[in-house]
This record gives sequence, structure tokens and C-alpha cells, in this order.
Amino acid sequence: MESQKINILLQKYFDAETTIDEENELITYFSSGEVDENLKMYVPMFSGMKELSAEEEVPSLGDDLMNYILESEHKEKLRYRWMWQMVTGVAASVILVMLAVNFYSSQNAWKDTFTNPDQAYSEATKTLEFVAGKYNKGLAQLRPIGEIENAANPYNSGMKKLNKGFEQMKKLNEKLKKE
Amino acid sequence: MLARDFKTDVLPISNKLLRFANQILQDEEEAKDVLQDVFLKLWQKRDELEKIENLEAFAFRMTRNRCLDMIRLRRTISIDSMKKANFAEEESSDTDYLDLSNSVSLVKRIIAELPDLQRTVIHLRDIEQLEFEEIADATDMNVNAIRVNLSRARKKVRDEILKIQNYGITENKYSASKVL
Repeated sequence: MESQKINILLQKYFDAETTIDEENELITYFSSGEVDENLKMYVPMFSGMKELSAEEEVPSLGDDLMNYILESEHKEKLRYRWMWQMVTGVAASVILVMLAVNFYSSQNAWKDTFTNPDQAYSEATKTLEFVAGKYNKGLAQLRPIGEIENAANPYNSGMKKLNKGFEQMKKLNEKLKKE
Repeated sequence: MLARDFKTDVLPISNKLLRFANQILQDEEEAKDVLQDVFLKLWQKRDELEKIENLEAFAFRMTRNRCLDMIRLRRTISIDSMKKANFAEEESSDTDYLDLSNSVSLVKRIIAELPDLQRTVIHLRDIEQLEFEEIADATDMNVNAIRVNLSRARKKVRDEILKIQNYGITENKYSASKVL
């Protein structure tokens, strides 16, 4: 009776249609020591599976893994600290260089060339007048452009008269249309 | 997730994962490396772990992917070290062969030689006793495909064991007749 039931379960087992409970039933039967002679060939398979799932565990594995995790986190932190030190070091040296440049240039500030302000004023006026003279000379070179305008004047006045004539013709046209 | 919860909820899975990685890689050192990677990643993501419905299946999936990466890496190693590995493999299968009377190592060896999907499915079901839905979460396969692969794997294990048993019997007969 029992072996008949086990045969049905085996059929289902090899078609992958058993539930976990039914599979446990099979494992229990085949490790009971009272296995039907016709079914004995399945004993190694089920006892092998059973022992494999009960294989001894490494009790320290969890701790080992946790140590590994903490250790690599520590390393990561050290690496970040090293990176932070690098960045701040570079920044500090840049600031130092900038300060040094600033100090050096403030040492070489402009020096007054005159002690008497009146003398400085007259010197400045002289210089500016010299520049203004050069500027006027440059403008004088541009005078020929004015000549072009003069030459175009008669043409422009002629065009004005022509335009006037056109306007009068337009008015005449409108008057004729109204009538 | 707090460090304390990580220790009580996540770390205890480690032994199952080690067994699983071992089954795939057949190399204890590599399996341990994989586990370190997996748990470091889990730790770094511990704040997101609460959102995951089935942590165990998720961890199995991570482990399997990492193991498959390892196997891909192995293929790129030099011929020299491959020769060495082959040599070591031959030796180990020899010792396994001597140990055939032990059904554990027999079943283990047969499962190890199954194709990847069949091996994964039979390990997760018959050794770790996961439900089909959990295996689906861990492997990205649908339940139907899992059943097909599991059925093939179980039949293969059965047939291999029967073959070896029959071989053992004929061999015994042969040696017996020799003696007589």
C-alpha cells in the first residue's frame, strides 16, 4: 500500500510536480530503512540529497564576512581621508601662492614722479594737449569725404524737384477718379 | 537597515550561499571570494534591502550572477594555468571515483556536471528546498521553465546513479568470475 503511494509520489517527483511537503515525505521514506525492495535503487539519490542539504555549516562564516565588510569599509574611509588630505593640501598651496603674488605686487606699487602738484598738473596738461593735437591732425585727413557730399548736392536738389512733380501727378489722378 | 538587523537577517543566509557558490564553481576559495563580494554589496545596499520582498532569493540571484562572472573570467586565463586546472580536476575526479560508495559525493558530482540551469534549479529545490516562486525570483526563469529543467535534472541524476549501480554490479560479477 505504502509503496504504491510512494510510486505515485516518485512519478510526480520526476515530473517536478511534487510540493515541498511531498518531497520531504519521500526523503523520510527513503531514509527510514524500511524501503520496498523494488524501490531500493532510489535510496542513494534521496539520502545523498538529504545529506547535502544538511551538510555541516561553517559557523564562523558570518563573522568572517562581517570582518571583511568592516575591514574594507575602513580601507574605503582611509582612502577618502587620503583624498581629502590631497584636496585640502592642494587648495592650501594655491592660496599660499596667491598670497605671495599679491604681496609681491603690492611691494611694487606705483611711485609718485612729482612732489609738487602744480608741476604735475602742468605736465599732465601738456601731455593731453599733445594727444589732442595728434587727434585733430587725424581728423583733418578725413576732410576729402566732405567734398563728396558737396559734389552730390546738385543731384540731390534735382531729385527733390522730380519727386514733387510725381506727387502732384498723384493728386491729379485722385481728383480725376473722384470726378 | 541597521547593522544589528543585517547581522540577524542577512548574515545567516551565508552558509546556504556558500554551498550554492561551491556547487557552481567547484572551488572553495573562489566561492568564498564570491561570498565576500556579495555580502559587501548587500551591506552597502543595506538601506534598500527592506524594500526587497524575498531577500534570500535576491541573495541567491546575486551569488549566481557573480559565480557566472567568475566562470567567464576563468575562460580568459592562460593556457598554462588551464593545464594545471585540468590536471587538478582529473585528480579530484579520481578521488571522487574511489568514493562512489558515498552517495553524497556521488549525487554532488552528478549535479556538478549538469548544465547550468538544471544544476541551479535542482540545487535550489532539492538541497535548499526553495518554493518555485522563490526560484523564479532567484533565476529570472518562469515557473514552467523551472519545472521542465528540474524534471530533466532529477531524471538525469536518477539515470546516472542507476548506470553506476549497474556498472558496479557487472563489475562485481566480473571480478567475482575472475576469482572463481
